[in-house]
Amino acid sequence: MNQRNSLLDNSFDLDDLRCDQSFNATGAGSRQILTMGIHKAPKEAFVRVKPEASPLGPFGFVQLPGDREAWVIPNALATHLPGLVKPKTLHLAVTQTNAPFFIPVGVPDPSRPNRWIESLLDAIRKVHGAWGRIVAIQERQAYEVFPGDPAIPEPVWPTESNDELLKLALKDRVVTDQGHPVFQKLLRGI
Amino acid sequence: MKLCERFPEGIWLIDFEFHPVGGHEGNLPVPVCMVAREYQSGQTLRLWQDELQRLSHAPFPTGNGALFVAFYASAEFGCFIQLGWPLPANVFDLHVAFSWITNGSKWSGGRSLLAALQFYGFHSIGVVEKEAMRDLVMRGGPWNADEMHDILDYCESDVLALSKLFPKMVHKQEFDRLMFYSSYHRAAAYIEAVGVPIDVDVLTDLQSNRDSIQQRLIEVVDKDFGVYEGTVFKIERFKALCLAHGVVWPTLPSGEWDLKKETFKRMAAIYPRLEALHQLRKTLALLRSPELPVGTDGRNRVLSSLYRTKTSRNAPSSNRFVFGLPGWMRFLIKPPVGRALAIIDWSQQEFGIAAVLSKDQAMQSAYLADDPYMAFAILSRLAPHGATKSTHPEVRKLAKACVLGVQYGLSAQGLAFNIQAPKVYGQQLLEAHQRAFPNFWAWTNNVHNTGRYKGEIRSTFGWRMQIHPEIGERTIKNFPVQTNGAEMLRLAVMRMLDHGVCVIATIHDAVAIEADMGEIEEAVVRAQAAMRWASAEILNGFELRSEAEIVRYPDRFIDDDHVGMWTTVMQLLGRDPSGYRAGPTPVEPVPQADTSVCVSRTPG
Repeated sequence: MNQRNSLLDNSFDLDDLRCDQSFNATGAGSRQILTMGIHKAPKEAFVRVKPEASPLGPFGFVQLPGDREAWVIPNALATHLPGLVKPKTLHLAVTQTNAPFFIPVGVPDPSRPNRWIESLLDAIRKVHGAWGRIVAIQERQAYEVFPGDPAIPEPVWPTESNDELLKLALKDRVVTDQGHPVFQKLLRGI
Repeated sequence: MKLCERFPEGIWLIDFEFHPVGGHEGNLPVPVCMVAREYQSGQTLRLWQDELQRLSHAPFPTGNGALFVAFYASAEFGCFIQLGWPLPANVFDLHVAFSWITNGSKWSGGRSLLAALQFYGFHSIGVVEKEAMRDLVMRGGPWNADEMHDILDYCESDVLALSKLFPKMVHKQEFDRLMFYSSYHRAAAYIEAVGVPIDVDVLTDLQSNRDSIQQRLIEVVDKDFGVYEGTVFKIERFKALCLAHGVVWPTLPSGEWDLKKETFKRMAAIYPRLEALHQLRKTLALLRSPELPVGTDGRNRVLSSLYRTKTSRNAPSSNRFVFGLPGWMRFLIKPPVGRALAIIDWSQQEFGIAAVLSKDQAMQSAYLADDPYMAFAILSRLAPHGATKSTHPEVRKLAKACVLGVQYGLSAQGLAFNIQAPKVYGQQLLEAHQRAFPNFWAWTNNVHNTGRYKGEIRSTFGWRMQIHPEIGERTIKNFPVQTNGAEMLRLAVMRMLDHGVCVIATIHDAVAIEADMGEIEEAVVRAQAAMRWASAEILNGFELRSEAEIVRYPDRFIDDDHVGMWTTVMQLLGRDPSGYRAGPTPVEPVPQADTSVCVSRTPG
């Protein structure tokens, strides 16, 4: 029969050997966002809107028929497209999988109440602190919020500044001059 | 502190030459000679077997003040155990160090002693010369004076090789880490010495009838498939079979059908009807290959191949290790008279590790639920609250495929393939998983990004994989879960041995233990406590569950999925499913291994 030394209670301090398993190396673990969408909250996704961030804008938006994403148009060009440019603010949101995007919201006009805009602002307030799906209900001409499971983990917000996110969002989505195809198409429509 | 100050009693480089008892593979080793050389002074000890056997302990210091250096130390420790010598307190294994140094690198020269010498640019004796000397040792005695001298010289040449390699592999900052990993060789030596008990009567019958079994197995199993002509698997017939049953078989980039072992295994899991054919192919391949090494005491003993995989898991030869054989052949595992075995595995080990390391609370809650797969299905709204395996079996199957697939970094296409559905379903399942466990996904991306950024990735205690551009994303993402599973197993095994549990094998995320029939429950309790402790050590206090299956003599190890094939083979051998020949139950001989090596310590 062998005399046995202990196999584990030897001279090893396991804590001295430990390596970090979170894998959050500076410059490696954090993602860099390269694209940002500006669109409605996908109706199938639970979303959160960043509560402490002021909405950006308003900016003048135009939209082509059939194009889900909107275009931003400078004031100087907007005057050529009467009735087509809608001022909207941008609210930073993320989906349950932490994909960031901006929700565009029309600027309320006290003289012309709009249930879509008012209910969307209500919906955004509701998803400041809790997950919810923002769904357009055509019959009621308004948005409603379907709450998410409280067990869904808290969102991870992008670390980029608002300016950086805005630049990404507007990259290639700005109607830069009168020769721009979007401007031309809209003009032809008029 | 310098090594010579840390180990004032010397740094001893050691090599044994040995052969199995009676030249029979699977038997315990007989030490033939040993050479020991102190690294700094050059003091050398050359001892022949009669001199070794007269000693009650090693002829050099083995306490805390000395360091033992070897290349694949468990082999040397096997000799220590046979000689009744206490194992050294401090071990530095150059095979472990070389594996650690080259793991994940582009080095493709293997991990043998010759490979290590080549890696560092040292001259070594040729492979042919080494083989010739090995053959001389394996031939067994008696050896004449010249042969004894040659064997000792050969043994010393390996020790001199160690003295060249040692300074190259002592990484100052990693020394304690490598010594910690080396220390597991002591545990492996105990496990390898005991071996796994085998039903030798059935095995012998099987081996002596292999040709007729092969032919008759094909006749019995293939009658449902019709893909064999004689003993040849005909691909055209197999294609026709798949076509007739709507089986979509994967192809290679060349367009040829992919008939690799792993593909067959995967497809058999999808189409259970093909499982018998899969087992047949695996069995036939095995019947054509060398025999299972089983000692005259009825024990299957193989080298554990420690740290063989990138993640540091063991990888013993699947043809030589009974747990690596086709499912039905594991029925050969049978405790001897008066003894019992238990196979204990962690429940959902990989899922649990991922949940804790990623700090994903939802995933941890799912792990703690009775059925993690169902918990995921409910969380992701694939099933309603209150759904169970019995109320929603199909949904659970999908959820399970998804959970397991994600752990291996399966793509939507791959997952769709596994569930035999269009890609969009695979995509939906993956999205459901992402919604349910977002922190896990963020963490796994961090693992990949950080690994690429640093050029290496490490386990909790520092097992390292280098990451060169050709290392795939899946390999990197899967590394932390697999490598920490391996760490956990090693810790648990060392704890078990320290607490008097007789470990006879490790199998991926499971251990096999052995005890007297009246003591097996107590041994299982101690083993499971060790597994809980080890998981908590790796997972910041989070304990993983384990499940135990006990097999008592005269029962044998049974795998429900493979009863059919076992029964068929037993019928071909004229035996009943218990493995007995028709007629009165024979009195079995009692081949006993010396399992005392496992229980020499008072339980802690």
